[in-house]
Amino acid sequence: MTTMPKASKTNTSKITKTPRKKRVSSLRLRNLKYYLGQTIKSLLRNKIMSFASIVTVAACMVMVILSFAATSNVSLFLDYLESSVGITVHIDDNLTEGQLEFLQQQISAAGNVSMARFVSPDEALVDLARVLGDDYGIIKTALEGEENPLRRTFVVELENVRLQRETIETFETFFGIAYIDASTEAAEMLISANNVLAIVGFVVVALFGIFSVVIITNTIKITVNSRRNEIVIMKYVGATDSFIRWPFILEGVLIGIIGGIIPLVATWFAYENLVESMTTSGSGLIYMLVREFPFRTTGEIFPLLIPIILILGAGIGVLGSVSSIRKHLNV
Amino acid sequence: MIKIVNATKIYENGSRGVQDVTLTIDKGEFAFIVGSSGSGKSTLIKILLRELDLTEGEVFINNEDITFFGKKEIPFLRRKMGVVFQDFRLLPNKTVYENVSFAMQITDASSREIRRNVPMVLSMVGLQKKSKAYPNQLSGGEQQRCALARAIVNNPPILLCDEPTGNLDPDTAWDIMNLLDEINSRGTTVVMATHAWDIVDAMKKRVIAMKNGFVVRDVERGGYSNDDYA
Repeated sequence: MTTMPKASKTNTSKITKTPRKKRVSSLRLRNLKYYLGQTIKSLLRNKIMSFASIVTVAACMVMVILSFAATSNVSLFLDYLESSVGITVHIDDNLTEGQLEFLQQQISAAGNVSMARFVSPDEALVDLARVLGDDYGIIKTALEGEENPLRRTFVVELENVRLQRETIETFETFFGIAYIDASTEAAEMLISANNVLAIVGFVVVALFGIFSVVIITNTIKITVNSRRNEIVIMKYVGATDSFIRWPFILEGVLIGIIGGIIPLVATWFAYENLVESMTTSGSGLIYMLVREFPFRTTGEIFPLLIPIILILGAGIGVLGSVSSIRKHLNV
Repeated sequence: MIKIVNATKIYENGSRGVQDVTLTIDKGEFAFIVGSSGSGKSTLIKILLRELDLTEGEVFINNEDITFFGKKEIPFLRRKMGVVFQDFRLLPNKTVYENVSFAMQITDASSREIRRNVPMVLSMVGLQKKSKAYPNQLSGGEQQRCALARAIVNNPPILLCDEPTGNLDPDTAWDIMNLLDEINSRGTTVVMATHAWDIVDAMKKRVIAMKNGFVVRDVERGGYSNDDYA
């Protein structure tokens, strides 16, 4: 057997060090069919985990939708309060016409006042009659021949109901005011309710968001594990990380989007029915309270909610899938 | 085509995969890497595939320094090399055709190219009639031929084989060797790590013997030596 050292061959090749080339792999349309096929197969292969992930995302999204709808309506109630409740300033009976005019100027010039309307005792009685309806007859009989007991008032509309207390304090320094009527407690309750709702909404959404990411991560991890062999082979034959990653990302996105669409459809119908039943029929205290309130319609809420929910769902999906596949790509 | 200069690989546990290996394999060559288990044959294949980072030394493929290739470059390097393993590594839920076409899909080949090339290589390895079969419906030899078809479907200039006949009976092993010889005769550089002394002796190709990570013998048209088992 003849042996021939190979060292001489070293000199036959011209060795050059070439700079590393930058190559960018992106989602190609040609591969999209392959990716989607893999995604659907994977979702069907792990039916139970896929279903669990969708349910968790859907639960998270229901919370987001409820928080959004509630906050949106409470802020509408506040706007309503600002424009319709305002403050009623009852004027001292002894005030002369000149003093009354001066008081009106003072009130109008005070900050946070959008409008100050004078209401005479006669007008006030007509308003009272409208509010009381049939019961007005009894009062009218009782007042027969008597002088109208109602005071002259200014009905003041505020620019910002959150500054109601400060505005009242300013009014109290003016001369000629008997007393001031204002539903301060209702306004404050709504303001704090809105703040609490925003905080609770944020915490609930954040918690469910984390749950969703964790459960999607687990679902994709199961998929990745079941396809680990395939990933290794793909790496050996020269698949780029992005080629391997895309079906998993699409799986996460699909879970996120389906988990968003289901609660969107469900809450659309539920919300419409709820508002309708609260404002058009029923009886009792709640009906009395809410029939006058202007609820947000589905047409106002959902055009904003749909993109938020779908983007959020897709985002949760991407986050879950990317974190679960990272370590499996090191082959 | 392949140049390894003073390559040393020390694993995290301190064991040495290869030590100070320097060798060149020219374009169109057929080289056997022989040696006992743990001699460094598979480590060498893994270094060429850039599955392992070198501790010291350099590796060049086609005059390109691949020693420090990053995540982005490795896939494109691997497309220049077909690879065949002892355990076939076919995807069980894909047919023969899909197992082969899948290697083209990842390279962004058009469906037209796939439809043209896959039947061609399947016919070359004699599996054209089994294209719809799943791996578990194939014999060991057929599975390895499918793996071979997958390795060459992108027409790589280099074919790396890690014990490709290790799981096959002698007759089937020779079928695979004949195919490898044919692929080599078409200009593909073939590097094959193996224990199969009878094949190495009969083929009369270049033999690179390894022991404890060192290259201890490098002969043109050689055979297995008794020392290679030690």
